[in-house]
Amino acid sequence: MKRYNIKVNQPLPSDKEIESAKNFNALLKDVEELHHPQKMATKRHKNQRLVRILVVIIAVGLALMASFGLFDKKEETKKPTQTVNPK
Amino acid sequence: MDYETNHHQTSRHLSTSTQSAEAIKREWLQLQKAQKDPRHFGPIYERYFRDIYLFVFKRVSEQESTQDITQQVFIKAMNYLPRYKFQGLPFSSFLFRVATNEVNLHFRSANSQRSISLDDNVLITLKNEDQECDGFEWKMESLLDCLNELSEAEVELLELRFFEERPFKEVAYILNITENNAKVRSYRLLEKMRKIIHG
Repeated sequence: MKRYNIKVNQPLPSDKEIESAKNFNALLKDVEELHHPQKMATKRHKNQRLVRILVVIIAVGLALMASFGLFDKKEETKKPTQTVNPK
Repeated sequence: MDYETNHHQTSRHLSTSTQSAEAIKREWLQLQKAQKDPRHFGPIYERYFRDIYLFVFKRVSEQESTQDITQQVFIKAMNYLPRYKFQGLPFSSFLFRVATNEVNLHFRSANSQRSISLDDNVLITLKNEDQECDGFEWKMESLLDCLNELSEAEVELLELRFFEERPFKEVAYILNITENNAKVRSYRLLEKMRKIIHG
């Protein structure tokens, strides 16, 4: 099997055809669009940072609440059930 | 399709030697402007679009893929532009380097066969470059058989140096090797080809 597609004296595209493929404005647009995901990634990164800060604040809050014993369950004092003897 | 018949010139005018040092410096000034504002890249795009298009077409032989790859070359070049440093070579060398990588990427992802485009003049170039040929005669038929025995890296070098007649300095830059290495590899390649043809 032949490895390459070999072309001898291959006709090349004309100047007209090459010219029709040229579009600098489209290129500028493509380059700009490529930069958008970066901006989005930066926003996402900032959001992630905010979430992390919130998680830390909540964790510290919970730790403080635990240290003040706000989660301790109050001991329920069970009153002895009174049995009423009908007799 | 409206095709150009005089294709020999197009394959042999892409080298650094065609630009004077003054022109290369002027181009660098233009590139510095483009580094600040991409809209100034327009004249560079206009100047090299055709060369890059034909460079890609010869390796792909298909117009639609050529258009996509050429567009990709310029997108990558513009993205890299703020980090581009002047090395005394025309910007086209950098574009050909990007184009070589893009063509390789294309063949890695697509299931198509790589094309090699050559004309009758390559026999003259090979004869002139091959100083140790000792009466060896380069013939088109044997050359075509020999090409299928070469690796992609060897074909790449053969195209740049012997089919497109680029100076070693530019070949080295495009392939990201030293100039000396480009020379050694080129002469070893000719030797290998002669051995393949001799059988």
